[in-house]
Amino acid sequence: MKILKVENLVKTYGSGDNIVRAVDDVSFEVERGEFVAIVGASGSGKSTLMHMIGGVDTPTSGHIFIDDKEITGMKPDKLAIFRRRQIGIVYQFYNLIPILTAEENITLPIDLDRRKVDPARLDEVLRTLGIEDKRRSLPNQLSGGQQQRVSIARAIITEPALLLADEPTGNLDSKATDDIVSMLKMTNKTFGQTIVMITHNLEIAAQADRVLTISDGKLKKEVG
Amino acid sequence: MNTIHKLTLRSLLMNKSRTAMTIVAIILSCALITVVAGMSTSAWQSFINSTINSYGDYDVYFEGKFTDKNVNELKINRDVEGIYYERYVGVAEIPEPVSSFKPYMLIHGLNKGALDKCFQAKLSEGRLPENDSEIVLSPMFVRYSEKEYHTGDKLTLDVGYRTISSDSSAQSRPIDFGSAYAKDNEALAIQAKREYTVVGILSSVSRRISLRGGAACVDVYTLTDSIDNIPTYMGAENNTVNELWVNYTDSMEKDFVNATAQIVGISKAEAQKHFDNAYIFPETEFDKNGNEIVNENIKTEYDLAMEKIAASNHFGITNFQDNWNVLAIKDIVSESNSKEIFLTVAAVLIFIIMTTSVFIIRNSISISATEKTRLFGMLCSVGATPKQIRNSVLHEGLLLTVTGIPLGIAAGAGFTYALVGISGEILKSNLNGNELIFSIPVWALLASAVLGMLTVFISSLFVAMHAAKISPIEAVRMTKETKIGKGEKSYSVPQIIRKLFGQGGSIAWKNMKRSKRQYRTTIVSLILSIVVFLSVSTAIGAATRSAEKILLETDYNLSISTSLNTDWNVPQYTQGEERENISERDRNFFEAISQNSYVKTQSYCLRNGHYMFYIPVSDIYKGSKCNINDIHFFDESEGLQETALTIIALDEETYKKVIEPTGKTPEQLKGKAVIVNSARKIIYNDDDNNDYTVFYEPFLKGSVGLTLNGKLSHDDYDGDRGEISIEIGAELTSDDLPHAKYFSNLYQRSGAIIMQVDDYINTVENWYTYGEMFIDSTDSVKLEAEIADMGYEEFFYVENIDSYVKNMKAIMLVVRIFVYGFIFIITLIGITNIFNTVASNMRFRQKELAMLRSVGMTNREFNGMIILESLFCSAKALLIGLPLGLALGWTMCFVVSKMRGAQGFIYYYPLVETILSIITVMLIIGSIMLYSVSKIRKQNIIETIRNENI
Repeated sequence: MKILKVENLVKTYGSGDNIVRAVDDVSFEVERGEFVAIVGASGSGKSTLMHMIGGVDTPTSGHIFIDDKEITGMKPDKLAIFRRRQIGIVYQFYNLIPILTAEENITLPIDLDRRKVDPARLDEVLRTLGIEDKRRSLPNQLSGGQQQRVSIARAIITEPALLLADEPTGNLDSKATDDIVSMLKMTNKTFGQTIVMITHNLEIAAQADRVLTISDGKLKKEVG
Repeated sequence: MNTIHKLTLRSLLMNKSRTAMTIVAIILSCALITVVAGMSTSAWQSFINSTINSYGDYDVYFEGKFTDKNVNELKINRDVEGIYYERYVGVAEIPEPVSSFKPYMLIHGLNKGALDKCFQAKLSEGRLPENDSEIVLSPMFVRYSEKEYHTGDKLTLDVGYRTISSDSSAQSRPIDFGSAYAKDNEALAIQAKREYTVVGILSSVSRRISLRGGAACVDVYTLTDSIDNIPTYMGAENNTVNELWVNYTDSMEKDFVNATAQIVGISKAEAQKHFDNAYIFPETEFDKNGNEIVNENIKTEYDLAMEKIAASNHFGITNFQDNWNVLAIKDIVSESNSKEIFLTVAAVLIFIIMTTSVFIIRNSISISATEKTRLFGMLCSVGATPKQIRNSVLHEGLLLTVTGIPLGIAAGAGFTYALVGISGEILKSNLNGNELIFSIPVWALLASAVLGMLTVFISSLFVAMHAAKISPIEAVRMTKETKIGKGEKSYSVPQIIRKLFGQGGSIAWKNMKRSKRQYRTTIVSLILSIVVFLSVSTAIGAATRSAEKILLETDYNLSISTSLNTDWNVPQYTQGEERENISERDRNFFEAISQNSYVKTQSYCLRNGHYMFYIPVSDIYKGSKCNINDIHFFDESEGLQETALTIIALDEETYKKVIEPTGKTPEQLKGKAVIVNSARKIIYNDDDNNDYTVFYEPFLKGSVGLTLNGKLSHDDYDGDRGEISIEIGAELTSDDLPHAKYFSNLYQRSGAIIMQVDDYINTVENWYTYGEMFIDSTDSVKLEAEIADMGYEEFFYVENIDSYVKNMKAIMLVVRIFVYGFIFIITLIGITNIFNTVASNMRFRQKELAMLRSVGMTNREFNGMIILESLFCSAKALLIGLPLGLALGWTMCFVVSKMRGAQGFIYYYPLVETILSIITVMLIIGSIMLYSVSKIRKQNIIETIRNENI
């Protein structure tokens, strides 16, 4: 089942002679439970593509379907609600809320939805990501790797249709990088989480089920 | 400009709103300092001018007999700058007088410079006279002349002196031009016919020579260049004047005592003693009849000094006095503490302004430095020293100063000018022809500039020293700013918050609890403004309402008091059998007024407090012998207790009301008196005599049927002691007497003997009667004008309560304008601070706010969270600020109420101001937050997140 469908997606900046096509007519699909990596050089448009899929950036034209729902053209509030329920985003720089503890950061999407957190689910996520003893720590009390794990936990707590990871290891050392990649893989295997990951590191990309290459805003080839 | 300074300037230009707010704060602070300095100097200068206008601009006043020769000799004295005199020219009739009691004009001749320089004459029209055929009219002339005069009008006058004849004699004699008008018994003895041209009309002149005309004359002035040929008048010698007013040169003014000593021919010490009136006078002795014993053979120290003064100079000087009020205000004699009060109040205000401003401006510069810490970090990494970083912050302060201070001073000068104008208009009727003067000397402006610069420098210095030491990464991340307290509570959000406000409220709550430092400055600024506003509003409100309560409690708007007429020259008032009966005079006067159409209700009394009564000791109430206030018990002899009691007569209506509790009618009490058998006792509860209890107890065992025998405490005009016997027909106590002002006639509600008016006139000696009348009128101003023509001025005084209330309200209004203006500006300065802090806080949290939106917070939820944060912030500020402000306000009222003379000061809870504080605080915080957030919301989520990452 196709969890993600991207059709003829375009993102341009500027106008007239100065127009830049950051994403140029990209189309692809992702199956439920797949781990897909998108690689490309700096400035290739991979991050722009991901942010449009995550609903945090608006395309110039084209369509995006997540779990059969078109998100392009959705009203901002409706998109926000959709995002907190169906999309989890992991950023390169963790981007945790500094005044919330690890646990509070993780449960934030559920709290925003005014739903009760399933304690068992929460414990499981914390345990799986190895941050059970850090649940009451503030971000400023955690290492980079730990903060990224919290970020991943936040992204998966709602069991979203899609987890998007934008250079999740870009700010980490090699050991932490290995840890995070393992976490993502385990999330994919254990919870069946569909993951789309951006990276410029081919070694990391190789750990995915499928690799899409993007260059100058266009998808070049698939590997895997 | 070096690189770092260029970066500083660019940073200021890039953050326009923050820079603008900081500059606004500096402008406001500097403007406020300038206004305080400017209003102090303006008020002080106005005070000096009004004192000079009132008392005249001279240093010393000489008495004696002065000829032209004396004047010319004194003029050439090197210490004398100006010498002025005023001489009698004559009396003439006002062509069309308004008042039948004031039909004359007194023509004064003054030498050159006297009117304008010495006596500070101000013109409403025209110019001053330049020769003795020209005349200026006083404001009193304008008021008492039916015909209106303008410059150029001619007045042909029969000028002479006043004479009077008694009914029993055809022969007339001269009387003083200042005597009361004797109507049919008077005539003018004409000495010359003069034609004058009116060249000007005065709006005001020093009280030293205004109202010289006395009861029957208004004043007009001409120029005179000689003392010779003064017309014959009342036995005065020709060719002399009795008074000279002298102005010393500027340098000698400060040593006026020495200059005077040299002129008079005595030592400086003797002159100083005379100025200070530091003579020892022997104690006055009285004979057994209470009359003063005068021993004409003994010369006192004062007598000897006067003899020496007269003998030591050849100018004719027999006495001299300094113009103390003006010399004091110029700081030449130093007993006045008005200047200290002015300076203290100004210094306190400036201290408050500077303290508040340092706090606020420091905060603004600190925010700027914090936001530039990343930049500082980069500069350090390429080799900038801590000193260069420090100088960068100081340079920012300098740029802000250079922009803000001149604008602040200009704004302050402008505000002062406007305030002086507005206050002058409001207080016009209070100022008696004086003006409020706008005066900001250069030193005041420089002082304001220096204080303003000092404020910014101190603010910048704190921040600069901190910035030089700061760790860039820690500062950017503000990692140390977020903390969680110990215990379970620190992790939880109260259920009620969750239920009422949802997740947005929870996040807002956690933000408030865990990032206290971010909000500290905002909350402290708010608390400061709330406390200042509430406490000062409470004090001002209490002062206004207490004053109004006292005034509104009066059930009258006009009061008249009469006294013994002292015009000894008018026979029908003073001499022998023709002597006017003062009691009848006052009764007739009051009865006539009561018929006036402007009178709604009235009450009057006649009082005589000169009698001593001799009461058998056996009739005195036990225990009331000592410590009785208002009932004075004196010596006891022959079984009789001597005591002073006041005899009071009331008008018919008031009398009926007062005697009602006795159950008797006026007819039953004809020929008898009613006694208030209550003595007032005061017990003081503290050493300062500010806290006391008043109660009443009887002083007679039983009074009805008692005959009280008394006599005057001294000889009367005819040498009698005026013995009387009064039978008491009824008794009242102080509880029987109502509290209305009308009944204050009854002298503190104790120990009075009350009679009907006719009985009073027939029984009591009439010479020492005093009368009081209280009127509730429909138009107090018109009534006052009509009363002026019902009796000659010497014997009555009218107090217009409406005018008094109007003046009080005008003063309170001006006080309110200043106080609330001050609070408004302080609050505005606070708001700039809050704006900067909150806006900076929002900017700083851009990434965090973008993250919340990226995780799925809707715009509505986002707005709700911001509103809640502002609600929590406001609530915290109000929860601390309101009680503090109310407590401080109450304390201020309490302190004032304990001061002597302020027992009527009552605390009023400032409900309106409390509500205003709450609304204002919420509006300020809410609007600033929403404004900042609206800018953030327009930004692209991912752009924001990206930009915030290094």
